[in-house]
Amino acid sequence: MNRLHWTQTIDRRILYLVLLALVVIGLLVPIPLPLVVGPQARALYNAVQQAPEDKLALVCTNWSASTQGENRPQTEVILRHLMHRHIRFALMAFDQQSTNLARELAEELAPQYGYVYGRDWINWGYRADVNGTLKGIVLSIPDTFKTDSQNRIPLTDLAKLPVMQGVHNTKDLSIIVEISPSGVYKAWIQFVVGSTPAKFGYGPTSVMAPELYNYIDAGQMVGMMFGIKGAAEYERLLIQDGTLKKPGFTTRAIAPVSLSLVLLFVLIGLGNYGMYATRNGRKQEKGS
Amino acid sequence: MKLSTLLSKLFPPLHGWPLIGALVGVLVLCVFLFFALHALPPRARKMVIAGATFLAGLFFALEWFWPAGADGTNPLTFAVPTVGNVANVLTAFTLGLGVMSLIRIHGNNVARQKAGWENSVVLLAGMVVMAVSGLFFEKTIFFRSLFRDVLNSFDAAMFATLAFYIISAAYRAFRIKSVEATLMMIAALVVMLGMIPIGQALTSFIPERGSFLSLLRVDNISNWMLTILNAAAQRAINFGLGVGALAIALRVWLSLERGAYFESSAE
Repeated sequence: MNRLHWTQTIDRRILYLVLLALVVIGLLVPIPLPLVVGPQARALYNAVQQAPEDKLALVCTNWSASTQGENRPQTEVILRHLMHRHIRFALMAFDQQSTNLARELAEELAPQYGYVYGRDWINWGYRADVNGTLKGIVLSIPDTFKTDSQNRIPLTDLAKLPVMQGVHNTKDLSIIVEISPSGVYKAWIQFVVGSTPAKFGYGPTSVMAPELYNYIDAGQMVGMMFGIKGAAEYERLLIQDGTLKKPGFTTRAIAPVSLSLVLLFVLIGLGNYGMYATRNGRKQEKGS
Repeated sequence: MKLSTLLSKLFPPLHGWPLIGALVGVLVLCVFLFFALHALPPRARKMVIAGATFLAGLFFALEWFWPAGADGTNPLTFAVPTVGNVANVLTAFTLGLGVMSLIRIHGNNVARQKAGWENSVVLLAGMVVMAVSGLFFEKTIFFRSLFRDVLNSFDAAMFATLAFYIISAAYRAFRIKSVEATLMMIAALVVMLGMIPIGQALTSFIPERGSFLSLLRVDNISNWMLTILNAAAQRAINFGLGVGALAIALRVWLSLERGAYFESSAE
């Protein structure tokens, strides 16, 4: 047997242990790494930066705990940016878990920026049907959602929900950002994007980001955050403009991702090297 | 008279007892319709379902294609939010259908003590506890603890284990045995290197932009591959998907779709 045959037969438990060690080291040990801000994250940042302050921003979250590693930091940087600019915003969700998770995140951030529920932000809640809801909000948001999700107050009750002042349909929105690991963006583009002057930005998980470039190319999507890396780029821009004082978990999370991918390259290289070495060894044995 | 005005006159907004009465009346009517539908012979039932499907699809198609007036609406536009709400309610019913199906299958497992029936007990108990806590104790620490500390942790942990499987699978299965596999490997390597700071550090000595050499930065090559090569391929795939989706949508709308799922209950 070829002496390099071991490179093809490493026990999977060793691989798991190495990966675990790299992730833990990446999270605990600060590793100074350069981070280039890509054009897509910069475009989304610029769109939020230029969004009119007198209109309502809409953040649609469709992520659950399973993808919160990527989607939660994306939601956090968007909410921080909106709050820093004092833009009022609404949350909505097409995922049952997400309506709670995004609300908890907003409640956590709101006191830091003096945001008050009902005055500066609102939660429209969860809806099961994507197409019907999006077609509905194009015409009338109060008719589609009726009440807010937290206190069941009618959206037309401006005394209790001043955040809804001047908000009738999607034409009255300043910017729409969807954070999602699913294909809901297609419905947004089909039904909403053409109906409103508000720009549409997106925060997908890394695995689904490649399918979105043609929508950015077509101008239907203003920009996006490429998974956790995109969120870290956005956070970098927030640090540069003074919204954030120092890098948070999002930037720190890039190190374990980097190390894991390097491990992936090394293992693929090792497996292939072993395969070719073994094959050459066999050929030489036959030749001699 | 406009259709919206006519409907508003026929069905004025109700409040209090008249609203409760109307809701009970609708409920009774729905129950009657449900049993009437079940009592029909399969062929007639199929025709009723096909008719309802056609009308539902026709509304959206007509509303979409009907030319809009000066105010940007047509005579059907006013009903879109209401139809959207009806669709939301119908979609919510599918959740109930899923719950019923789970209870039936796992209840059967427990009753007959099939292999792994203990797992079914845990599933049913978990479902009941989460539903009860969410419905009646939503604002309490009990629900928050179950949702945040148990459900969220389990969900995140299950998804996180994928990383371990991906590492193991890529190591065992990704063998470069053909030209296509080689191209795929090179593309994956460049794109992933361009995505991570360690990869970006390799060519960080080259200026980011403003120089011909910038084209050789790994992050710029990665971005070019994603925005040019990948976008073109994705566009082609999307065209194919769009044509296929149109064909499927027409078949479902006109009840032409055949197969076990569509036929077994009707025939």
